[in-house]
Order: sequence, then structure tokens, then C-alpha cells
Amino acid sequence: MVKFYSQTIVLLFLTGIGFCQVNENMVDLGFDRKDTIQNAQPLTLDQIQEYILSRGTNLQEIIIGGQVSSIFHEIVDDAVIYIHIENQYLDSVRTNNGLFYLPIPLSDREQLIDISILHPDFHPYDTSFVTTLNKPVTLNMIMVPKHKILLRGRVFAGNLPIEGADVEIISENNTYHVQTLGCFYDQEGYWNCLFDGMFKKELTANDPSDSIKMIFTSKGMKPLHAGMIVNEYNGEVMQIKMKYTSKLPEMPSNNLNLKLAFPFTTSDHDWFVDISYYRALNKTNLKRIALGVDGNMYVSTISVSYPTLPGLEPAASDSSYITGFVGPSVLFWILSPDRRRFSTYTGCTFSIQLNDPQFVLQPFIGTRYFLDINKALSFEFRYAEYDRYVTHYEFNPYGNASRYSVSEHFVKFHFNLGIQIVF
Amino acid sequence: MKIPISKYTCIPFVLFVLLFNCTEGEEEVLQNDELIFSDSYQIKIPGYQYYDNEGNLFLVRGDTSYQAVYPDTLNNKPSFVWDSIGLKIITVAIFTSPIIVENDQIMNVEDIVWEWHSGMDFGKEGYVQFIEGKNVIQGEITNTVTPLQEAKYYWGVWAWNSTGKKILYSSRQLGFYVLN
Repeated sequence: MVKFYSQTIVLLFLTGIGFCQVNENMVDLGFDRKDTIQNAQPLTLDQIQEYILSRGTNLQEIIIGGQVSSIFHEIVDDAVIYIHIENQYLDSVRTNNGLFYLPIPLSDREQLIDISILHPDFHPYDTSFVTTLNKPVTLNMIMVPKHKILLRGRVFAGNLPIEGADVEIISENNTYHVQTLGCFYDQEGYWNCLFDGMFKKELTANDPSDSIKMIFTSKGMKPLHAGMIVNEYNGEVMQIKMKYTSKLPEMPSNNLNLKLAFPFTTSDHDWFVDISYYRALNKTNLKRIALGVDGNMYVSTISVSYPTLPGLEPAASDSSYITGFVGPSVLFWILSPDRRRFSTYTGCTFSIQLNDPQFVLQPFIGTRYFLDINKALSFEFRYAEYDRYVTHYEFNPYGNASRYSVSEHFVKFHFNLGIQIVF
Repeated sequence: MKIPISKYTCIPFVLFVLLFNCTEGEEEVLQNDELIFSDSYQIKIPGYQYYDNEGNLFLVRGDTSYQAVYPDTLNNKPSFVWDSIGLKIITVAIFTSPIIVENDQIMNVEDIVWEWHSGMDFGKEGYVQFIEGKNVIQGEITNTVTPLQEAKYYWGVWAWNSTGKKILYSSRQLGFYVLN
């Protein structure tokens, strides 16, 4: 008896901590208490007796009834109560709002009655007593709950929460499947991302040392297996980090690029900006070829030198020129585009120069590295050769210099850095 | 996974538009019709004096003599002084008639009889003696320098910016009379 009470107290203490932690976190996350417990309060003994008497009296029967509640003063609904009389099974009933009643036949002698109460969230409860002739029996039974936790976690890919990830939770021979949440419009019409990538599952365990296994799967991610014992869970939201697979889950069809080259990565210390869009040919044999449109420009600083007054050093004038190009482009993937790392490509843009209409070829070769599921960095070498007019000056000793344009030939070779969005 | 494409696609287009709209700012246009080049800053010519080889003193009133009824009377080898402005490309010239400028260009170049500029071997910006310059015939600078004949002359100074593209500073044109 002493052992039973000590175990009950320990269990009560542990469960109490568990419930307290769960409730605090639920409040933080906006969860409702209804997720884990019921609000109804148990009746007093007088109220229970009143309930039993209200069931009616039959001179041929004795009413056995009462209430089932937990050590936390919460009613236990849907508990199954088995009644044996003199070791003979008589009947079973379910609690309704924690209350039950059962008429048993009247006997002219005292009877031994065994009662067993079963509920999946509570430890089984057994008790025996002897009826005293024809008086109604009022019972107030208090059950000890099993160890219960509200398992919660957020699944990430890098720093990005993953919505719709499958979470398989295995606990006590039961397997549960849940999915991580995404953003949604809440009741007030706000776009709510508070629970993005989160999952939760209420688990009940007989023993705090019972194990929990979790298997996370998501499209484009490596499956992740994780495990722990119930006692290890401290009620916090677990941070689960998944890793990408080496290949994309689907062959991307479209990509949008923004590329930049800097003065230290270009042969003539130019700036280079490029915007392009490509769409893959979705035919089986041509899936490595993509067609698109490419617009780019060089921002160049060109210095011209000219003599001034005799005896002085020649003067130099720097001017900035923007040379724009636009045209169709073809791209061929040397290494498959579904690789996350270093899917290498080559191609050529058949462009028209916008300032001085002429046909300019821009061959290029590059590679890309995915940062997440749909965004990648690209590194590219590009070559271009074109003519454009450059303003020169002629010094005038009696006024402002005169200017004239000269068509000059430029050969550009540069390395650019880009960001790519795949969809 | 949902991809908020519109959020990303607008960024490159905005950059593209911004870059194509980058243009050089226009400098503020100066306007001073009293100067040789009206859209330039002023080179100030202070009053000064100089001696010739025989010890005669000549006074030059500088900017205060601008549009005076009587010009300064100088010898046939006058010296020229102005407030130094520190520009590398600068010229002083003597004209036989008033300096005519149209469209930022001196039109009566053939009236120049003497010139000094900062590329010459002697003289410094701010103070030039007559012998440090050269004669000019029909707009061409010669290698000789001969004294001026008795007549009325006009002189002025102008200077270019560091690239030699635009005249940035100029003085008023001042008249003087050479009396031999």
C-alpha cells in the first residue's frame, strides 16, 4: 500500500510538471486548453447522490452509480466500467460526463462487487466492496493519468520552415501521422505564419522511459530519423533541421536570373548587369536544352586622351557609357539541371546592341549552386565583342573643346555572379 | 512549396530601370556678361605697377579700369598680373581690337598679336612679362617676341578645366594704350 501511494505521488508530480509545461507553452503559442484536457469540474458527493437518486428506485434493484474523475479534479469521460458480482461478470457501462449508474438485482444477502475502470489515458483502476442490502451505492472514483506530453516541433530546411512535411511518430506500438502546418489567414484576416513548419501531437505513455521515434519526410529532403524517451521531452518546441537531397525533386522548367559583374571581375573594369529568363524544353531527349531571352548591359568608363597647349601633358577625359544588349539565348546543361550543386551549363546569347544596332554574340559558360529549394547562386564567364561610338575631344586654344565620335572595337571578357530563381 | 515569384521578379526590373536612368548632372550655368567668356568664373585682375628696363613706373588699374573712358598707358613691353587660380591650362593674349566671343569661341583670332600660355618655357600663372610670351601672326604663335607698336590694345586671361574641354575661368577684357 505504501509503495502504491509513493508511486502515485511520484507519478502525480511528474505528470503535474508535464501538464504545467505543456499548458504554459500552449498559452504562448495560442493553443487552447481543450487540446489536452476537459474543462468540466467534478460534482460534489451530494450532487452525485442526488444524481443517483434521480435515476429512480426499483424495489427489485440496487443502483450502483457515481462519478469517475482524475487526480487533477477533472471528469473522465468515456471510461469503461466493468462490474462483477461474486466473481461473475454482470455488465459494463461508459461514463457520460464522468457519471455512470447501473442497476443490479436485489439480493437478500451481502454481495461482493468488483469494479474495473479502463480508459486509454489513465492507469486501470480496480476496486471491490460489499453491498449493504438494498441501499444505493454511491461511488466517487479517482484515476491516475498516464504520462502525457504534447509533442511539438518545427521542421526547417536551413532557416526556412517546411510546410507540409510528413511526420511519423511511433510511440507504444502506435503510429501517428501528422503534417507540418503552413501559413494561413486567421480569424481576423491576418496572414499568420506563427505556426509555419510546426507540428504537434499529444502522446500518452505508461512509463516516462518509454521511447518515441519520429521520422520526417518531405519532398526534396533527406528522410530524418529522430528518437528520444518521453522523460527527455521538456515541453519546448523542437527544432528539427532537415537536409536537402543531392538532386531536386523535380526537373525545373523555368529560371529567372539576375547577374552582376564588378569592375574587379571584368577585363576592362566595367560593371555588367544581366537579366535573363530560360525555359527548358520538356521533351525527353532535349530536356538539357533551354531557350530564353537575355537582356544585359555594360557600364563602362572609357578614357580618351588628347593634346592641349604645346608643352603641356596631354589631357584625359573619362566618360561613362551604357551599352545595352537584348536578344534570344540558348542554354545547354552540361551537367544535369536537377543537381543541387554545380549543375554546369554553357550557352550563347544572340543579341542586338541597342545603342548602335548590330548583331553581337555572347557565349558563356557557368555553374549554379542551390541555396534552398528554388533559389540558386550562379557563377558565369561571358565573352562579348562589339563596336560602339566613343566621344573624343579636340582642344581649342580659343574656346571650348570640340567633340566628335569615333567607332571603336571592344572585346569584353568577364566573370559574373548571379542569383537564380527556379520555378 | 509556394513560390512568391512576384516578390523577386520586381527587383531586377527596378534595378534595370534605375541604372538606365542614371545620367550625369548638369553643372550650374554661370552668366557674367562682363567676362570674356560669359559662362565662366571670374579671374580677378588687381591694380598693379611695374617698371621697364629704364626704371619708368607704369600703373595698371586692373578690373577698376573696365569700360573706363581713358585706358591705361603702358610701354611697349607690358607685364600682366592677375589673381592666381591654380589651373594648369591658361592663356593671356593681346588683341588689336575688342575681343569678340560667340558660342564660347573667340572669333577674332587674327587680331591677336601676342600670347603667353602655361605650356611655354618661361612665366608663371599670375605674373607674366612681355618677353616671356610670343608674337602671334594670323592666329599662329611664332618663336619671336617683338615690342608692341603704338596703338590701343586689349588683353585678357582665360583658363580651362583640367580636361581642357571647357573654359572655366576668364577675366574682363581690359584696354591699354602703348605709347612709344
